Amino acid sequence: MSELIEKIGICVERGKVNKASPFPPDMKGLDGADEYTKLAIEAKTSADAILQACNDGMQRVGEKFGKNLVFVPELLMAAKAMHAVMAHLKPFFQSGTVKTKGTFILGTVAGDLHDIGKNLVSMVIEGNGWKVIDLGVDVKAPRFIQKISENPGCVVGLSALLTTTIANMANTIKEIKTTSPTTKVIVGGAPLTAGSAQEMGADGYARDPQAAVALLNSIGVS
Amino acid sequence: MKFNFPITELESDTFLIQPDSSVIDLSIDEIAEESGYERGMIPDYFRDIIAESIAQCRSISRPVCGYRILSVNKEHSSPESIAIGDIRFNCQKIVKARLNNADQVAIFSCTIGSEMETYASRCFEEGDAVKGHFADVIASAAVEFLTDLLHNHIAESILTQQLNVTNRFSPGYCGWPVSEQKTLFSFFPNDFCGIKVTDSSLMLPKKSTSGIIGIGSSVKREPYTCNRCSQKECTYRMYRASRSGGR
Ligand code: B1M
Repeated sequence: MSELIEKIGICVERGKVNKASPFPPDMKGLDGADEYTKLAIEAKTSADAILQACNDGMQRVGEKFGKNLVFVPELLMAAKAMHAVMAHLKPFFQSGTVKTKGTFILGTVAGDLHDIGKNLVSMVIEGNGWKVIDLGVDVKAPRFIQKISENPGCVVGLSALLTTTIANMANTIKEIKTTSPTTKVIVGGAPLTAGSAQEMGADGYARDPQAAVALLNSIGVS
Repeated sequence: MKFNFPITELESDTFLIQPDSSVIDLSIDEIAEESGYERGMIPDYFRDIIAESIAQCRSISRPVCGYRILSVNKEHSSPESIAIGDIRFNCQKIVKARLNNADQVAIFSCTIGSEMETYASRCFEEGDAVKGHFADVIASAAVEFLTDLLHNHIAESILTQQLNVTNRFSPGYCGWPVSEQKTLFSFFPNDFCGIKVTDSSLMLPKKSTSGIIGIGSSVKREPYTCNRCSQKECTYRMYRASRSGGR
């Protein structure tokens, strides 16, 4: 059983979705996350243990990404393998046997259209066991506030890539904190630094998706 | 490569070019390197996806670009700004230093349309994030490629007058406020290249560029340099530097 769990973790880390997938080349023709998860569930492996293996796999590929050992496509393949696992775990989430770590509401702030980085963050965080509500790009503060009220205890993530939209980010945080002072807000995006994030009142800054996961896991749910 | 397509002069010194999408000539290696991989190190699986997306881009994009040549008002300019008539672009020191000797400027915009954006979004929605990602990267590279072509075309078209061009600079780069994109577009006829500028000064379609190129007898185009930018980790930085011999 633990061997299956280990294999699921490796498939997620390496982005091996299923047997039919030719990626990665050295695992061509072998079973993937899809098949191993099916087997693990049949063998009555706990859904929590499967989820943990996925999180560990995502954690490892995220670390490699942070060190430039792999690039965005590998990260996306890992997320895809993770999704293959999640499809099997859906009934367990629905029945409440396993729970997500919390809800993460994510968006690129008003005035900014960049979404590649945000999409990556979304996939990696989801792969780490969070429910992610992605509001897209050019998201104005009231939209975040509305979603926060619908999802009590959620954490909010703001992304920006333009220096000019940093001001909008600061305003969004201010408006969120005014209506919902306990909601934690984390920020990320190329023009930001830990210092600027702190100045604008964010609860944390993440330079990449993996750092965002670490930050979220440390913040937890209120 | 040259533009072998009809160039329309819309107004005096304002030109519009609508090349065929097959003009977009991107190589798999180039996209792989831009994505971070060292030459030859990208897995074949990704190479195939890149090849498919490049073909898609060459078939569905709708490239349009154009420019307007304007005289510089040197008296109204400053070390941080360049003036056209009474209107000043606050392009900041780094850009202005490179435009200092320009007597004229070409302001330009380029787009490949929204088709690739839509295609990339569809790939994401259908669960193929890798394809969606490469489609997006390729679309960005395509508009940069188109901008390179336009830049070369402008350089060639003024060569007969013994004039040279500078590098190109865009609102949003090197401290030049992106909000001046609106000022830049105010020099173009309405709906130029089919690009709309949003309230926050971004262009729609997303895969669009705009900027300014200096023209004069004593200006020159230099290798692309990223060394003044604060984004040290950027993969584009290394890639671009290696392509142009700059840093
Ligand atoms: C919530 O928690 C978190 C945690 C982490 C988070 C997070 C949230 N969000 C992000 N992260 C982090 O995790 C991600 C993964 O590691 C990272 O996400 P990133 O999004 O940073 O990284 C992505 C995976 C890859 N990175 C990217 O996709 C962006 C790359 C760069 C080179 C870039 C590209 C590709 C493009 N661009 Co543009 N572009 C640049 C960019 C320079 C750069 N190096 O960032 C930038 C953003 N562009 C800029 C500009 C000015 C512009 N661009 C323009 C055009 C373009 C292209 C079309 C050529 C192309 C596509 C743009 C698009 N929207 O699709 C123009 C605008 C386009 C428009 N529609 O209006 C134009 C305005 C220029 C012009 N006038 O033509 C600059 C902004 C300057 C500024 N700081 O204000 C810029 C920094 C370039 C520069 N060197 O100056 C982290 O930041």
